[in-house]
Amino acid sequence: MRTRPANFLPLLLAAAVLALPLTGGADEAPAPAVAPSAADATLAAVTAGDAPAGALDTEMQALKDEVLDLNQELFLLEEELLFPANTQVAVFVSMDVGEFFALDSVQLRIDDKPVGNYLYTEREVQALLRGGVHRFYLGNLKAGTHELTATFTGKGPHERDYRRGATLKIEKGIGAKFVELRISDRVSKLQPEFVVREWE
Amino acid sequence: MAVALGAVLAAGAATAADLPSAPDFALRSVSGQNLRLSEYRGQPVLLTFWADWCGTCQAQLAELADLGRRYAGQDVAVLAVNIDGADRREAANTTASRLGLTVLRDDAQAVARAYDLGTLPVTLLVDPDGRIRGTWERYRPGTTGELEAELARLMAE
Repeated sequence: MRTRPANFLPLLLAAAVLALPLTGGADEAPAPAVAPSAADATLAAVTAGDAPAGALDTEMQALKDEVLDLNQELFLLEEELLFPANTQVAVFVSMDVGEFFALDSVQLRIDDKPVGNYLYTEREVQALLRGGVHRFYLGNLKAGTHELTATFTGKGPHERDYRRGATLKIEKGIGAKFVELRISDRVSKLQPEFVVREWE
Repeated sequence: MAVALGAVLAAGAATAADLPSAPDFALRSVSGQNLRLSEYRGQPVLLTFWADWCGTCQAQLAELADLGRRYAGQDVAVLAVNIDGADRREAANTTASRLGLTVLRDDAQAVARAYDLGTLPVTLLVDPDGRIRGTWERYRPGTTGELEAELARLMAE
């Protein structure tokens, strides 16, 4: 059984939190050999209460940064485990200009099997128009020839419902395969253009 | 479930981080816009599932529409997910225009399955971090009051 690394996240976060006082303790005075008295405890509480808020904020920020870094590393590890490079296929959607096409959704079929269907919100379309690239699909394919068919739906010129497909045959080798579904404007024909191409 | 969740919160045994995340989805509204739940992060969302054949759903929707109007200036979103199916779109359109609600169409009932609905109506309060703060199943007089009280508590935090 394969364990998803994301399952370890709470455990690792807990470990990080537990480890913090230990690492911070290196610069502190050695722990007393005897249990501190009630008066010592009160003094310690007052001292902790007097600690500058700025220092605590800095420590909290450092901890948050560490957690974010850890999260990112785990995310990458998860992807490496679930989608090893020798079988990995990633499909991205990008958009250029978009004057002749208002994107609504994209459906993707690989070897005639539906693998993805994504409804784009206004905000997501705006992000694409600003140069954003959406990772539409991440999956595994065995080596060999495969056929990708993307169907784009939306509004075409003159606000008409528009639906177009584009197909690409890919040869999956031992390395990861990246495919881009690109929507652009064909100004000469006043029509949108849909291209499926491999990233080198 | 709402009662149980409320009890847990009151006892202080659960923190906000323990609450389940609301499954994200994107659906088309009857006005033709595509809306995604995660785009409402930062504001509370009242998410209700309903169908035209469900009589008590209409009562719940009317009260939620009223609640939405009262909280209109406070960034509270009310999303009504209709699960009737493609052949009964007219019902969703009529309700949307009559009550002034944002009605989303879950024609394939994929979102209803993701939320594991066992009855109708089901209303969820999703907090600004996308966690399910409470779930109210079925409708009875007073349901919306409980929901509003929880919403007020959430907004006061």
